[in-house]
Amino acid sequence: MNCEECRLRIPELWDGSMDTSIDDDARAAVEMHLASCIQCRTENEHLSAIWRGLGHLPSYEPSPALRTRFYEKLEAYQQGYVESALIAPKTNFLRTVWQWWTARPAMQFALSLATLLVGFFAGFSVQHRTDDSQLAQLHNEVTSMRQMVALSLMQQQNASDRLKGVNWAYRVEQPDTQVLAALLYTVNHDSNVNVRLAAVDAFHAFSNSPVAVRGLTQAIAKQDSPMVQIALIDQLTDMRNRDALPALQDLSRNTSVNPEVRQRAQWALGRLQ
Amino acid sequence: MGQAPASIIPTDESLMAQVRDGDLRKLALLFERHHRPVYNFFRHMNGDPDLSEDLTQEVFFRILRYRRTYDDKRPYSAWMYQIARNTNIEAAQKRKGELRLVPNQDDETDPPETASPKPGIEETLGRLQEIKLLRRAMDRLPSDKRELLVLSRFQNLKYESIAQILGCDVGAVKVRVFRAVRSLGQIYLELSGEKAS
Repeated sequence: MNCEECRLRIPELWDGSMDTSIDDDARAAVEMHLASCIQCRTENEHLSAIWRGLGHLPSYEPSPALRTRFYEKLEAYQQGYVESALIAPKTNFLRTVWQWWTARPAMQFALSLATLLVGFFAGFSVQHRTDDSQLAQLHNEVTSMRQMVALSLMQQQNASDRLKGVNWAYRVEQPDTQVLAALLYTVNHDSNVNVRLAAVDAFHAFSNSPVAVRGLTQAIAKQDSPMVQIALIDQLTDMRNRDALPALQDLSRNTSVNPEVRQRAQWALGRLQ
Repeated sequence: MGQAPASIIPTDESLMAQVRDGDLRKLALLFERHHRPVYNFFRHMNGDPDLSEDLTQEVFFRILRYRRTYDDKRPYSAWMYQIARNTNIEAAQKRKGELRLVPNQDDETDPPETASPKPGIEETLGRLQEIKLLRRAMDRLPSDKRELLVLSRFQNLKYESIAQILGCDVGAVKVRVFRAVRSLGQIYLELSGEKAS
């Protein structure tokens, strides 16, 4: 391998390079050349330090206004999209009816009268049903959007974003199993205590779910933070579900846990029993 | 770590396919995943925070407008950055004559909290001051080379994806990356010399 060939393969050896296609033979050849050529070795050391330094440049943070503006525009765009989708078929249908109608003048009077009578009696109820259906559709869309935003934010690397994700979970009126699973995962595994505490609070929406009670009960033993353990005990007490009793009894007797946590467990037992 | 399990998270490609097929709400998920990297792409390219936010927003609405052209066999990131790149070129052309790269605002100040230099940076480049110097060197790099480094180093795109974005082969990308890092190294050394003298 000569110097030119070596230099073209050097970037593949740098830490953090997204290209992992270099095979062992090529890597060995490059390393052998670097060991024997001081010029290439010096250049590689300098350039790989620059490359590594680039990896440490701070990233920029957009202002919160960017997110707000995006959701406003998306909502407006989506509204226009749904309306145009609803209007288009109606327009085609009306055109067809009009052509049929004008082609049969003899039937116009009878059909007009019949349409008028039917319209008079049925108009209000049809209108109400259509409104209800559109409202239900819109409601479902909003709920689904909130679920998606909550799930997406909960997988972010930044703790404040994950916190926002948990807060979005509050807004989901009928949380689904994905949101429940993501919240339980957050309670058990999130590295940030504040995010875990917020996730525990978000379980208010799941007070009727046996899975949520079981998940929170199991989570107590996994916590290393007494604050989160106490929050879990309080949440289980608020849920008023007696399935949590055995775990709370174990906790109240366990001398290795924080005394305040034990005390809180005893208090919770008193409330639930 | 603290993130939700990957099994319940759909891929970018499947989400974009749903957007293409009319489920526009799924764009919110793609926005949450990618708006920061796209914003950083523009910040590195033009140095202007407000313009970068406008262009980031524009990228996601171009995705919406051109959704029917998306082919889900192709990596979503490559497609999105192709749109971002075109958006950036058009913005630069519109502002031709008036557009100069605005030196990034934290050049002369401490890096923001997100910087959090990890252990090891001292071993590589020495002091925090040298990171600022590297950023200044990036700002002085010709835009085509800067773009290549932003895509390969900051956006973590594979050379194959970059080749798709730039419309060249993978070998050419490797050569250009090497040359871009070499140019950056030269500018960095020049700035170090200016600073020392």
